[in-house]
Amino acid sequence: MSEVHDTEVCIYDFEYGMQECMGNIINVPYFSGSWTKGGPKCTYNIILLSKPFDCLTRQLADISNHSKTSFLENEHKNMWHSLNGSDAFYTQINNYIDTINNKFIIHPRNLLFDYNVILPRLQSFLNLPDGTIQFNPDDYWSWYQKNVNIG
Amino acid sequence: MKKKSIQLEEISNLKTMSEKNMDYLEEFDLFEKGGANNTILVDWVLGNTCDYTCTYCSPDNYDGSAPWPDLEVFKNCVTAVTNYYNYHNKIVKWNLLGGEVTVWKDFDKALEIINNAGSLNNTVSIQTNGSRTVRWWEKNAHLMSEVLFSYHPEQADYKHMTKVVNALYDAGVYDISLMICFYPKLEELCFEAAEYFLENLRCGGRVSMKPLQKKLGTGETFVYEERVKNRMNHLASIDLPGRVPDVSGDVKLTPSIMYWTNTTTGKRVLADANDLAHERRNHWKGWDCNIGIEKINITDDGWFISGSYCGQVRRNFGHITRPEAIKFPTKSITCKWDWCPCGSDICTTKSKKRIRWIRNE
Repeated sequence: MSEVHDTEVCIYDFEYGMQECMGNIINVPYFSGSWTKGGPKCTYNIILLSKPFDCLTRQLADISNHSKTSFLENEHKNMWHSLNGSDAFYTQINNYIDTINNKFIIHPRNLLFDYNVILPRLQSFLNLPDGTIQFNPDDYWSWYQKNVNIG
Repeated sequence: MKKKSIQLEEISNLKTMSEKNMDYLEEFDLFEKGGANNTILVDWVLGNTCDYTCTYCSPDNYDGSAPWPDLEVFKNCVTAVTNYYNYHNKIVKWNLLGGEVTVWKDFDKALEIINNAGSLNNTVSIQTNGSRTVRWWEKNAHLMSEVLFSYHPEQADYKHMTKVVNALYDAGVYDISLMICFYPKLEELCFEAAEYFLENLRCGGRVSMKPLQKKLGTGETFVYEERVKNRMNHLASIDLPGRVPDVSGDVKLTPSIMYWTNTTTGKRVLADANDLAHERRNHWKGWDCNIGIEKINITDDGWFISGSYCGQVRRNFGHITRPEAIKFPTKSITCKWDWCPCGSDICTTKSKKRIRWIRNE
């Protein structure tokens, strides 16, 4: 676990993907956390209920721009088999979420049509001044189409 | 964004629809796909000719009253549907049903058409009773991505089915499922077949034991004694010995698992469509459903509808003879059904969102 400095916010996702998008929305410094690698103990924790296969697909798409190795394919395949129908995988994530204090959970899909409810609550949760959170629904929709439900 | 609301009376019988408790409807607010989110499932009932006439099956599924499609019509339709979805970055997962599709004389040509269509790695799965010869299956194995075998105890030979499944596995078709249609009157034969499959199949996965509906589409299953249910569950929990070999190349699709999600607590729990139907946890009345977006259906008379069963009360949005005029659905719908009887209809994303809006009002 990293040491907390002036950053009080941690954004949890699976392994790869949505933290940056959410970080841009909240517009304050943040740490990134994941289910497998953990995260720092922050005052405020944002949990993104993204899907593991989206994260895997994004990771593969990004890395494959630089190198194509059989290792990546095998890693993907191994993940595919280990997660396929695994109750244990989701139980592990549920338990991990339970251990995190002071959390705010966001499902990426809900942000599409409920942003005017979710984001004011998030701003209040983070004790941010009005107007700190910047959100453009069209930009988010564009991002969503490229990054969610792709895997 | 304008919020749609539904009349309260539409959901007012949620508590009376099942003898089972409905706590899951309170515990979760989303039923979603864990993988294969980048796919569109196209269920196509190609015709209703079948070489079996099972007692528990409706004549609509075997009497031959709906002929197989003309191959040119089939080709034009496949091309139009594949091009549309591939353009929108959706992999088309064709699921071909009957009747018994393998008795269509042009079925191998139809498989080739699908395999050659589109720009993405589209897949084709078939649902079959496995009655064709082992030689036929070996010859056409390269055209199939996934096969679901249904064992029908009144007419099928489980030893032949085992040979077919093993031949496909040896030919590189690894995504194979085998389902025993558990007819209570032939209970011992069903168990005998299950044990033979478990001992002799080389593929991976499990042999599922499907409780049969008294009449297809009604949702009401035959009554199974507790000892029978326990034995069914035990056999269905045993892993088959085979595994997907460590061959080079990427896996085409992520698994089509479903889970319940509570978007407030973050809790996610895996769900199995067959179990949900059997346990009567398949009620989503008043929820928002992505039927038509994640899955469409083509009926045996060539009409496009959104789902296999729920689509029957929905407006057709095209016909295979006029593929250029298909109006593909782009919006979710509010479920008005007391229960969701079809496995593939169940496996579409459903959200309680609209109920919550009503409660907040």
